[in-house]
Amino acid sequence: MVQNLKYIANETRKDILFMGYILGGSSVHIGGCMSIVELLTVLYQNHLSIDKNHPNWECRDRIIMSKGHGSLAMYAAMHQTGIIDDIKNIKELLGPKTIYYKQCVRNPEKGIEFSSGSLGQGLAYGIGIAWALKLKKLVSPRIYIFIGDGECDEGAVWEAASIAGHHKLDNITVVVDRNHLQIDGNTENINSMANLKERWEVFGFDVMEINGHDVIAVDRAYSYNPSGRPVAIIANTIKGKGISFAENSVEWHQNILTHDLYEKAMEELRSNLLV
Amino acid sequence: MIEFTDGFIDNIQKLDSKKAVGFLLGLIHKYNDKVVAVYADVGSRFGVAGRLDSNELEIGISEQSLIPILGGMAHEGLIPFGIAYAPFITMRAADQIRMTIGEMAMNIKLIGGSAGLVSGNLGSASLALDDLAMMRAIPNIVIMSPSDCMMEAKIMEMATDIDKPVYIRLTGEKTTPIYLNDFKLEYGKGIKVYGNGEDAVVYSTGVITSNVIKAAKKLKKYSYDITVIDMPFVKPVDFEILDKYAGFPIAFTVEEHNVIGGLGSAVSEYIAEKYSQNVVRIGIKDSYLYPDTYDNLLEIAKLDEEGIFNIIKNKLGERKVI
Repeated sequence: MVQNLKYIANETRKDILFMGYILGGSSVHIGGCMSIVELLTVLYQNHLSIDKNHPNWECRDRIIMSKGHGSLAMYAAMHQTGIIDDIKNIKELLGPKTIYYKQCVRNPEKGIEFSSGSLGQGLAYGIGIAWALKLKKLVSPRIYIFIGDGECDEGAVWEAASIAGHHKLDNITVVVDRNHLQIDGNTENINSMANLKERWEVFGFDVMEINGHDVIAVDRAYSYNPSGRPVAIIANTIKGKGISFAENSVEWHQNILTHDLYEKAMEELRSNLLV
Repeated sequence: MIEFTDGFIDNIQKLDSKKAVGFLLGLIHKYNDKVVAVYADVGSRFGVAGRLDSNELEIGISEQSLIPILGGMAHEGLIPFGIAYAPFITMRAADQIRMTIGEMAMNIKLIGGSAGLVSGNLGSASLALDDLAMMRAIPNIVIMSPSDCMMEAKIMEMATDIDKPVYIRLTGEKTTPIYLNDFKLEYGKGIKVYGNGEDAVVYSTGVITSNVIKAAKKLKKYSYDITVIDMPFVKPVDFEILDKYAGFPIAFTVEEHNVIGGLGSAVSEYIAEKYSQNVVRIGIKDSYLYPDTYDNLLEIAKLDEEGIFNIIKNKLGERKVI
């Protein structure tokens, strides 16, 4: 299982690069996409309850990409799961011909639950869903919300966290991409997160802190059975993971993939298979 | 369906605009179990707490979260009504509204209480005089503002039935009844509530409309015959009715809102592109005003009966001199 997940994660990174490259001269959020690849791979492959033929199935698990510029990583994971048939059909990620954009645009029929791109709102959407599902007595679906650590600067994240904790919405799992970088630099130099794990705990969450690139640890975290409280997974990750020139690099929060850089990155990923 | 019996009309007209919300949601919930109420620490003030049983959610003073929470519920097929004070459910949550309504057109209903000048005794922080300006610029939204509690009932019923995002702007407290009998509210349409005179047409929105009617009756004594239109829809504004009265020499707009961005702007924008009719906007002149009682603030803003009467009379007098 582990080798298979690692293989799919590697393929997912190739998909992200491919989509980033076909954008041509337009920059893409490579860093924050590469950091959540294992988190999405394990979720889509092993845990997400969905019906590929009926994306609106009422009992499906819901994913909300609150860190909206992680959209390319989500499309790649959807491609590896077969929800998106062929990313080569994604001719472009801009303009009226596409339904897949550089930040999520709501399209439930295609597995994109909400638009994003304005940070700090995903958890509150999740609260609305979580409460509605409980009202309808649908107990099986979980709501997974991906939040960036830089995004945790937004006060609205904590307003929503307080509500989710107070109402004990145990069908919510927040995944925090703790990659320590945001546009202006290291998160701890900009607006210290202090102890992020304790923060989520005091808001009423069951919290796990894991290595977000360790597929076994990620799998174990998603397998956790909540104790009547919402769950937060603090996933320690590396921004730009898997691409040598992008790892831990603020410049690759958002940047343009030239032909040479694309080829170099792809070669790195291809060589991973030989290991 | 709400049954608009004589008894119902008597009862609803005795309520204030906020307490009517809970009363009406309780009735609507009985025939539509998709209706849910989410309130930001105002459940008692709006008489809604306890009216909808398990279909209620209290979230505390969290208007920014309120909007996407409603979005999540609408995503699951519910018809969620979010309730808070007007300045906070709009301006405080502007970005969330931009995303949930402007970007995604989700079927959510916002109820903003104490819009306009009614909370002026507290201070300008509690006034909503700019909410229409912001909300009008958000695509997809329907903006309605009732002139009395009977109209509020019609608006709440329509908000439930239409699959669109809605902002219901409640002005005033105790309202002066305008609609004494059952009537049909048509989507996007204004309603003539006084007169047939061709000296002027007055478009009014919110509970201030009762002051306009009083002013119009007084103008009649001075031989000015005017027509008063209640505009429950600020967006979409009723273009047909603007066309119908565009031949009158002058149009007035009256609202408890800044003259920038509200009904006056909506009417002016349409008329300016199509007609040569003069439009005079009566409202708050780009100011937040000092704290004072509701009645005093209406007088200062010239939105009381006397103020409206004088503005219209002076304008019509100027025209007669010319």
